[in-house]
Amino acid sequence: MKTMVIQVRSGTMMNMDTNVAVKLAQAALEKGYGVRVFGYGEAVTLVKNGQDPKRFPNVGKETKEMLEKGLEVVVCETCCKARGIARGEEIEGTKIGSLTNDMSRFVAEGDRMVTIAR
Amino acid sequence: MKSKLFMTLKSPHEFNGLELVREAAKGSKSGMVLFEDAVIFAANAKMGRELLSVVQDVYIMRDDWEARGLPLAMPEFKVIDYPEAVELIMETYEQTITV
Repeated sequence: MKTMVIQVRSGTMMNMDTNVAVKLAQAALEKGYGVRVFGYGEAVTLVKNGQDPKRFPNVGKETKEMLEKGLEVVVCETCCKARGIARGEEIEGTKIGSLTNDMSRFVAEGDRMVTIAR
Repeated sequence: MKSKLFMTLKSPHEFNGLELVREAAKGSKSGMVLFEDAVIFAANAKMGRELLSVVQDVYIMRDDWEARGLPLAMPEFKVIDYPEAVELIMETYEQTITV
């Protein structure tokens, strides 16, 4: 099975970038590809549990639904610390990891890499 | 040379990657997918033609295009949905580059 790696750098509700990432991931999973997402910088908000936006798509809920379909999501620990997001605050099934261990593994093992960033 | 799919989310007014794309695309099969405000390229014939002078095919995301309600000035651009974008990324082109 081929795998798409998506690196996201924008935060949820900053703009539509995380929604683009979610839609790409959903479509790739539907087609039977593996999908791995790495959240860097503001994108660590992808995995914050308890998201409840009133006027925006709920990226946290969409992420949770994709985890059941095989999505793997890791976000940068240093970026989390900088923003006061602690271990245990991530959506169950996602991981607070690192650029050097996880992102490098994703890149090495993935077939295509897509960067959603400005 | 590997075939290349360029991607951008930037509007034509903030996009400054044209020369980079021109150089990187030289000698290879190339395309570009426009997301979010980048679809505005399709509403401006001058800017749209500039893009088509550096890559062979330009694709715009249907939901981003329809959300903006703009008149299409570049009928050569292909309007696509997410499953088609995935096909381009995973099968049609060998590399993706975000600019």
